[in-house]
Amino acid sequence: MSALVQMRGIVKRFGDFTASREVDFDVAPGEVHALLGENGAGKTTLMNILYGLVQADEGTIEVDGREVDLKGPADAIEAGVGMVHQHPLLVDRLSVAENLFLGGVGNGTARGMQSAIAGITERFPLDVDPGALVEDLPMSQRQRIEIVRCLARGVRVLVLDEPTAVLTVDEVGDLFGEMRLLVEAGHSVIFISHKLSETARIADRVSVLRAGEMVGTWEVAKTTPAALAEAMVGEKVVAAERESECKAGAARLKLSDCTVRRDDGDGLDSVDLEVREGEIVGIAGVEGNGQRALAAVTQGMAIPDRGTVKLDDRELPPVREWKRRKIKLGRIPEDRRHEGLTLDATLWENMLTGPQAPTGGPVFSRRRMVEWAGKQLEEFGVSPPDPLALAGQLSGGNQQKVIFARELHSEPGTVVAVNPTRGLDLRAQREIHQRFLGLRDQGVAVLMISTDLDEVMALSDRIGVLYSGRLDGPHPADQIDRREVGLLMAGLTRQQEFENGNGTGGLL
Amino acid sequence: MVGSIFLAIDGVDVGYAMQEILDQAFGSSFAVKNSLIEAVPITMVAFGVTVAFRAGIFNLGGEGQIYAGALASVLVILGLSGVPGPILIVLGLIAGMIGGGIWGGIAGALRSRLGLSEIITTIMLNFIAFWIVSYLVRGPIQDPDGAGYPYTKEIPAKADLPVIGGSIPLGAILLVVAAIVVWVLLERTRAGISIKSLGSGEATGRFAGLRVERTGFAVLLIAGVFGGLAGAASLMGNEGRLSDFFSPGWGFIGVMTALIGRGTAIGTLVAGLLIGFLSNGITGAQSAAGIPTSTAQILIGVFVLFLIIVNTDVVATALRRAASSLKGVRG
Repeated sequence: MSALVQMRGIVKRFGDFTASREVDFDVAPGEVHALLGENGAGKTTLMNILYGLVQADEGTIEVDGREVDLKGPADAIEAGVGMVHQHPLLVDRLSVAENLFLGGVGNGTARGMQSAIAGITERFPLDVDPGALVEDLPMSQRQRIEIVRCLARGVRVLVLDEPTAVLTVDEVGDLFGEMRLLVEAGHSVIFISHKLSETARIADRVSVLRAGEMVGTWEVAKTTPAALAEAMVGEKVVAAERESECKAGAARLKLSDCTVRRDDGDGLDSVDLEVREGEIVGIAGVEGNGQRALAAVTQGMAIPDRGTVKLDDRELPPVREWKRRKIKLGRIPEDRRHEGLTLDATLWENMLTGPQAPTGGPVFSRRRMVEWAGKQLEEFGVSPPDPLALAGQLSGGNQQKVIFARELHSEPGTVVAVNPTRGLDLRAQREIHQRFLGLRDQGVAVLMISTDLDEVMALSDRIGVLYSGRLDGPHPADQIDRREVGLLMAGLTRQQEFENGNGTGGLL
Repeated sequence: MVGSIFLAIDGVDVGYAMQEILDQAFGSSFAVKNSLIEAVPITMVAFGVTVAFRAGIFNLGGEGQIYAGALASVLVILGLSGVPGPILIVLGLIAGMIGGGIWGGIAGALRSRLGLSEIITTIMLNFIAFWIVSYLVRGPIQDPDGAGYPYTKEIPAKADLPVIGGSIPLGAILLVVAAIVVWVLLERTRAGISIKSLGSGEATGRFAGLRVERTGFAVLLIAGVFGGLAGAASLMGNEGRLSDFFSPGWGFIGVMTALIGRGTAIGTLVAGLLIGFLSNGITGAQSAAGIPTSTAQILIGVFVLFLIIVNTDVVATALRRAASSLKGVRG
């Protein structure tokens, strides 16, 4: 087999830390090759080496059988390797065409670029409007611009760095379609991911990295998700299971006729919902069907246009009044990097943000606060539990655990979480799922709004589905299966309710 | 250094000039006093910039806040000249803080209520404060015995800030107090944590229940208080009267000082003192070493530039924040 890209014996050390240990990796022409591994396994380092952003300490790289010395991205592109970043590196205030121009597309004239873009879009139906401003475009379009930019510069191997993490389900489908077109045209795609289901869907072959070492490469058709998962984490994966019986008690969080008006279907339409102590209510749904509005009204970030949200029979005030009114509600935000944490602040400072911070008087003792934060971080399994570390230096899983520590240390009776494990590796996911199950067994009322169907199915005692702002259910978990939830997510509400004889819908 | 090139061009004995600059900055208790006096308004106004800076807010209104503070201070002192000295000093300083606070608060209100960029409003408020003072010192509060010069009557000697031990002006003590206040605010209070989280983006603050608009207002108000105090301290510690050539651009030197100080209380204090000593040393050495005024100004500029270059990543951060705050604020 003649490989298009062949990396041999790649070693990369950062100080004491070895990010790549003698890694061999090859890509065949015309394949989608998934690079799978947990966060920190060395996927991005390996690809940064291939893209010339980082230089390997040892090892060789061959492209098309010729050894190359990649001192920077320019060398990589010259050799035919391009990279599309998860958050595309584009100038927001410029148009698509201007960005492509900056990216070296075309011969420097407006006409040259037009013909270059036209040349690409003729071969691949990549839907880009050259005149649109980048800041107005969704993430999927921005990634597409980077793909076009790479193609226009003659790239044959495209590295996509966890592209799906920032995309909606539909957009992922579109992206996969485009990836197929590219490989059919003889290009190769390296798809970085830690999601098994996506890998199984799109990749021809898959290589798994673990702690900087290449565990192996398989043809996707000849392996199983379980085997891959095992290769990734290095131990048998047991999905978090609800073992104990649900002992749901009194209702803690109660939404009545809750409506948030929005034109794009991402609002709420007369939603009734109760979350009782000792249960997990999971809300499934495709992103953009009201999750954001539901999260906002249940996390104190917005007041519904109509209807009420009550916590323990009192109307839930905006979060800025929580401290004064002694409201305890644990909140896991959707966007941990922006809403959840101040990344350039230390962990102890992050532990002191929010209404539940135990600072006492107006001026606090730093020593006591640091000590307190250290204890909490340790209790919640943050690694390292160093209160002086900057939040931005932690992995996603540990960042999420910091938020858990902050939100749960005061033992709130109710928790509302939004996509709590998005972007996390399997180990962190499992730890967080176990945390939720523990909360439930302690009698906490948990509302989990998640676009990850597996997560909702695995954890929820009752399952509701949001579609176009309307909530179906929640249905007891044993009365609805994955297929039915999938139908509801696709908006087939009426038929579903008809089949179930209207018995399980609506309020309890 | 680059500075010596300029000196050499002017035909000045470089070694002697350098010696003289150091002498004039540190050489005697008198020199130290003058250097500290020079440092007071720069550093004080820089504290206001620093606090705002940490919240991601650019306070370019130091100049206006200085004039507003000095005006309030001079009006109170001249109006209450019968009050005993120590009380008058306290009242004068408080008046300055209130005057500057109002000036900063206006920019804060415009930002929180109307979403106007403080970068624009603080600069505009500089002009307004300056021209109000300019009008007043040429009319209603002009010194009748001042031979037509645009300044007020001199404040009574009992309102002058005392100098302790011949070399430490009270203003310098105020700087230390202010540094401690800023440090406690930023590093030891919940408000400080909120201010800093605001500086890294509003989303975290909003999610945490911070009243983002109100905090922005408060921050500019606090910044104004420091600016006003700079004006009052300079009036009472050195100038003695308010004129329309009162501040030689301290408000802007304060912005640089805060940048060089890396947004911390201690850093700002050190940077302000450095600039104060150097600038006084150079000014003082002018006549002794025969340095032309323009070259002296160039030297100060080169030195500040040098400090900034040393702090390049701070400048980069500042630019990034400026860009994002321009983007973030409507208007």
